[in-house]
Amino acid sequence: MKKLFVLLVCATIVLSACTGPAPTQKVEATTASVEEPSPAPVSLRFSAWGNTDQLAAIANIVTAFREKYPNIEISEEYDPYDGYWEKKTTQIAGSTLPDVFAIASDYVCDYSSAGLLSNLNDTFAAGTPTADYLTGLPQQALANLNVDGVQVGYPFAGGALLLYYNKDMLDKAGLEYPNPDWTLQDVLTAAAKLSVDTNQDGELEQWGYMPNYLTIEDFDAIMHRFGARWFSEDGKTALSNSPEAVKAIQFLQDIIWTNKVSPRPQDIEGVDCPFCAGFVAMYEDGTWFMSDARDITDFAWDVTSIPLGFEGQQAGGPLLGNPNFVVFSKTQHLEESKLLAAFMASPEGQAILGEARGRMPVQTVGLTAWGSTPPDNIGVIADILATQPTIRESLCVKHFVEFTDLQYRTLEGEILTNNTPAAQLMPGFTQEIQKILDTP
Amino acid sequence: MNMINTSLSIKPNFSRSAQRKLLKQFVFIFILIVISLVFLVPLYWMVITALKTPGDILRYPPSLWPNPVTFDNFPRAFDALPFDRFYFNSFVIVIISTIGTVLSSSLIGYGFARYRVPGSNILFGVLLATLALPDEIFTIPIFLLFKQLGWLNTILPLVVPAYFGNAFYIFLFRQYMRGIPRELTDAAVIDGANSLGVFWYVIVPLSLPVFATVTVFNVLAKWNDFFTPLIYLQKIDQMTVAVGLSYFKGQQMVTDWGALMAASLVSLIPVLIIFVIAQRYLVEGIATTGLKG
Amino acid sequence: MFRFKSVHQRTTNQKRDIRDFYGFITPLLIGWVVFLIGPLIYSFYLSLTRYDVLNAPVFIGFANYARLANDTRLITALQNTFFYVIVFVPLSTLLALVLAMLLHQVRWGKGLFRSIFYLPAIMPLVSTTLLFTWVFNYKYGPINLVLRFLHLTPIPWLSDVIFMKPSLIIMAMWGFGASMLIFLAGLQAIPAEYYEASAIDGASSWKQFWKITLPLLSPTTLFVVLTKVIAAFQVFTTAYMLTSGTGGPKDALMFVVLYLYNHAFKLGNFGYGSAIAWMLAIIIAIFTIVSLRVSDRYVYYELSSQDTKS
Repeated sequence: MKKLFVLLVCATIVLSACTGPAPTQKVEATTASVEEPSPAPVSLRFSAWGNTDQLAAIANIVTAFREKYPNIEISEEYDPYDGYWEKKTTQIAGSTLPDVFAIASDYVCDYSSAGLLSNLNDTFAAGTPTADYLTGLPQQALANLNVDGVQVGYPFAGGALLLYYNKDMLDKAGLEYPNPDWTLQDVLTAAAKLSVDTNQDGELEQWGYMPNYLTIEDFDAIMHRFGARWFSEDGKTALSNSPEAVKAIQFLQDIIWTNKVSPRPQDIEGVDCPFCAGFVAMYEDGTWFMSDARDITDFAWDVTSIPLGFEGQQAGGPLLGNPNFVVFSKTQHLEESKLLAAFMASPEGQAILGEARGRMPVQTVGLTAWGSTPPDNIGVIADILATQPTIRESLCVKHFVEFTDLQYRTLEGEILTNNTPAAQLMPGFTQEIQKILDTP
Repeated sequence: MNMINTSLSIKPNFSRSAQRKLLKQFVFIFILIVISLVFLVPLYWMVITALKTPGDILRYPPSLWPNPVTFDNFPRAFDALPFDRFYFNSFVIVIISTIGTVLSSSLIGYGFARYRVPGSNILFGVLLATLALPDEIFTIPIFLLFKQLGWLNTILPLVVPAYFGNAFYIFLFRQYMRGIPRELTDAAVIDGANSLGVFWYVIVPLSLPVFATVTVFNVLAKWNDFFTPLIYLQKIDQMTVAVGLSYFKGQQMVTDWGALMAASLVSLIPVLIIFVIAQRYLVEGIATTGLKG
Repeated sequence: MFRFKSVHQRTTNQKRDIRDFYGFITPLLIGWVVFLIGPLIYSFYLSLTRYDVLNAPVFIGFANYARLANDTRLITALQNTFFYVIVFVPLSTLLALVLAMLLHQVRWGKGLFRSIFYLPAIMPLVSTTLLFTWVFNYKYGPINLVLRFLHLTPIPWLSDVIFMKPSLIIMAMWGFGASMLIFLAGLQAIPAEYYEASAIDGASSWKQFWKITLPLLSPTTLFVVLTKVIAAFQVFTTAYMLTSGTGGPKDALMFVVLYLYNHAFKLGNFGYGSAIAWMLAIIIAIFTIVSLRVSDRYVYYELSSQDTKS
């Protein structure tokens, strides 16, 4: 009997130690402007997505935040890439979104018009703690998250499109390395010498150049290099039927099937990373590819900005942020949430992000740690961010995801397989795009 | 196909027919070994990927042997995430839900198998119809239901529904139990058993293979279940192994394959153990002592 | 061994049977009421709305269902799905049955082989997909290496529209282990006496197979085929992994569930996705009812067949 009693007591102690924290108290904001959080304990839910390395970096930033504000308790909810959509969808439907969460630029517009994001305009007011955190953020990055005069989020990670090149392959062919002045013509000339049939079986095993087919912004960049656009400035009209656009799409088909400097779909099917495997000498991809490229041990590589169009047309370089942090409009703790979200974009938070050398920070402070070698030419990124316009044409395009879905299907089914030449393809394609834009 | 009666093989028998039977065995086993080698390839693949460095994994075509061999992926994978919590959570969920599923599905399946009463056919039809509904569409409605019940952020949505039967397993139990000769249940009734008694003392012992099968299936399904824990649990500490593994995947393309394979290999172990244990019950066939003539 | 029952006893028996039956399936009924009815009704309601999840559902009547008829991509998805069902189910069932019978015959190593054959079903799908993308690779995959060695043209398994479905089917066959186990359990249930008795009467192996094994295995076979068909109609995960959710070039691997998933979760057309799901459910339900009716003639049951005699 005594044993049982002791056991029960122990069990009770253990159980009570295992129970969660005390329920939170609601913090009342008594004035309209941002004020210091009250010392009473507050509990926030915070979520972000990423792989293990990216989440570790964010967790470090959260830890730093906790040290500054010990009264704010943060419940971290980290989502993997897989199933991210299902999770967000159920959270939106059930109105259980976290107080502060990460969002991709593509969705900012839709979330904002559905009233899910808090207005952050007052966080820039001088004298507020958040204003200190937000100094130094590039204007363009902030503007991307401003919908009709309302700031709905803070940038967190940025990026740019780069041209990665395999130094060993170029050395072997006796070619110069690409530089920011190169046009597509320079690339094609070099690529012709780099596309080789190594085992004489009538098919190529190496190719000189490959654009990126998975990044929508690279698709944008192709168009811009021919002076074409997908949409009008206001995002309401599809402009992809212009002669320039046809030339751009034809270029994509020519490099594979006429010039034969780019791999056909079957040549690289199932290959995770053709560049890493040494199949492609020059390859366009974003700054996020850097951490994977750093795993390459078989050859030396470097980066430069993506080539200009045939007549020197600029494509743009910087990409829209991914992710960005926003505050749920129905949060119970608005001021604390704003603090946390702003801290993620602050010089201190961004410096921690840069040290992880995974996602690219937006603040220059973070770029220093992030941007150390390899590769040698990493300085080119700062130039791109400083001098070139953002690639993405407009932020608030209706049904953007439907548009990119159509884009990708057409790319896969018609363009890359050369099933339909560009001149025949673009009119119908443009009509479909316009239909999407016209849907309410 | 002739079932070889094992009780006759105690003495070596060199007659012609015995030799032919032995040869037949050898041929079968040989075929099985060849096929087995093919099926072991995925496992081999996982193992060598788990032992490769990130640089080696990027090579294409993939090398058939790690170059160099590294064991780094294992500590790296397990340091990155709280796998001890993941395992604990997975075990709890799997055990609680499997008990519920096996119990409820077997009882319900027996009901359908044994009794032909008004309404049973229609209800069975409805049961099969529920199999026809794709899960994806119910994600939101069911999520809202559990939200109403206040079960979000707990494991209740993951385990409670198991206690109300699973259409697939109910169907399986029904098919199997329908094959049990009626004489056996009648005999038990004569001996004074009520319907539950018949179930427990007659049907269950004769159905061990299907019980073992359902257990194995359910353990595997629950162990690998990704979406339900993802949607109903919030903090990373509450997550299961299946969700934990997905953190190694990158967006779109390059994934930390080495860590993913290393962690996946280790996560296979509990499932394999369950399977090996269940083997015993899969071997036992139907008892023939109750059947007369 | 049955007894003639008096009319009175038969009625009492039936009453007791009804009570027992509903007693046994009580958990199922409760589960339906709590977990199924509500979501079912709400899901059907959603199929009558335009719902992008971000904003509240907007009632639009049967517009979604009308849209089904004119949706060319949906028709492609249906064609692909039917093709998959018709090809995959018989092949996969046959494979599982043959291996189960093979396994049933051997006296040594049963447990070992059983584990090995079940292994692919246990492997995480992402790793099996990775393996197969290499196996089917155009330039360096083993299959095409053999083809090149034999001076035949290599096949673009994963990028040519014609070959993508066969590749997927081959990949899907890999997980036959579950069906094999079910067949094994069913084979196990056939009493040895039947074979021994027929052997004494002079029956050949082939005749034993047709007259004993197949009929007594029929409930199991029905189960395997029916559940495989229902699952095959809902093929999703393998296609999703192989095409990163896009359905492949020219919708080669676009199946109905993948299509509805894209609409519901990616494109913000949850209402339309729900309508597609209901359409699919009705198709599957019709097929299942017809199959059950037809199968009654061919499937042999013991436990309840006695009911018709008494």
